[in-house]
Amino acid sequence: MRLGQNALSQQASRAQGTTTLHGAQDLELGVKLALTTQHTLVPESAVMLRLTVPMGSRGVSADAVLPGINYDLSWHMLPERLSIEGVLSVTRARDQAGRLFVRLAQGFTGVYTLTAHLEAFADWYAFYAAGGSWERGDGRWDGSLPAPNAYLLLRGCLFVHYERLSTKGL
Amino acid sequence: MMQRFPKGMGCHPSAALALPRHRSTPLLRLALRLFHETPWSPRLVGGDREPWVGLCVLRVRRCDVGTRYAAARPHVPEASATVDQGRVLLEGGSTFTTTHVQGLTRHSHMYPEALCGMA
Repeated sequence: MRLGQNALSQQASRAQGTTTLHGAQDLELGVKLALTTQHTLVPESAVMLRLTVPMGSRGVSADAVLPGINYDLSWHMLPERLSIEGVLSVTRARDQAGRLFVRLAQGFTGVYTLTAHLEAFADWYAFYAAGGSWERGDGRWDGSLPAPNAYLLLRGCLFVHYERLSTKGL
Repeated sequence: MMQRFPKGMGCHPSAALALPRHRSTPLLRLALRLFHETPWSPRLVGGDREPWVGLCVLRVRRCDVGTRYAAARPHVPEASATVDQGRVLLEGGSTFTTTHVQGLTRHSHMYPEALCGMA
């Protein structure tokens, strides 16, 4: 079972002026169910059922319950060194015009462990809008890339984490 | 049809973050420059989608779940591992993001990215 909370501070600037947005985002509730463990080509996988509760600040909250489902999988190619992770996701979402739609997403990430506290990863992911779009109200899903309702992005990032583990009971 | 995006910002992303002077700052600025100015990033974005620059500065987890559990990194796929029974996981993080699309520059900071998992 999982419980998540986040806050956003955003400043948008254009020639006409600057707007700011601050506040708590919606509370996230969910459960993650383990499906398989890794066995040769079979990845470790889990399914996650989640929803957001519209408890966020005005202007930040979606003002609607947004359920979603994730299918997460991962392959540990080199133990403690290299792994590949992926996700398929279906989520209800709200676009910038306030319309609700269903967002489909897929993504893959390669994670390389540099040191005990430093990882580097690069991920690829794509979003598709079904039943609407972020900015356009054409209400259809093209399903091909690049498409008017698709979002495709590559990025890389260094991820630093600090962990303090209790050995009690392990 | 791919859309052309204006390149460059009024100020460098790292300047917007008001990063303090530190010996790692030049590397951080270089990383931000690469993220922002890599030519493929705007071109891969279809329609009106936003190219963006993201940097997770730090993510902290305090847990007793053992090393089997992978922390939820700041990327799209979530960890496929689950928390062991009777364990509690608490994670937090902070992410700065800068986007610049068609004259609109947006700086955002998300925190604490708190995630509590238990089984």
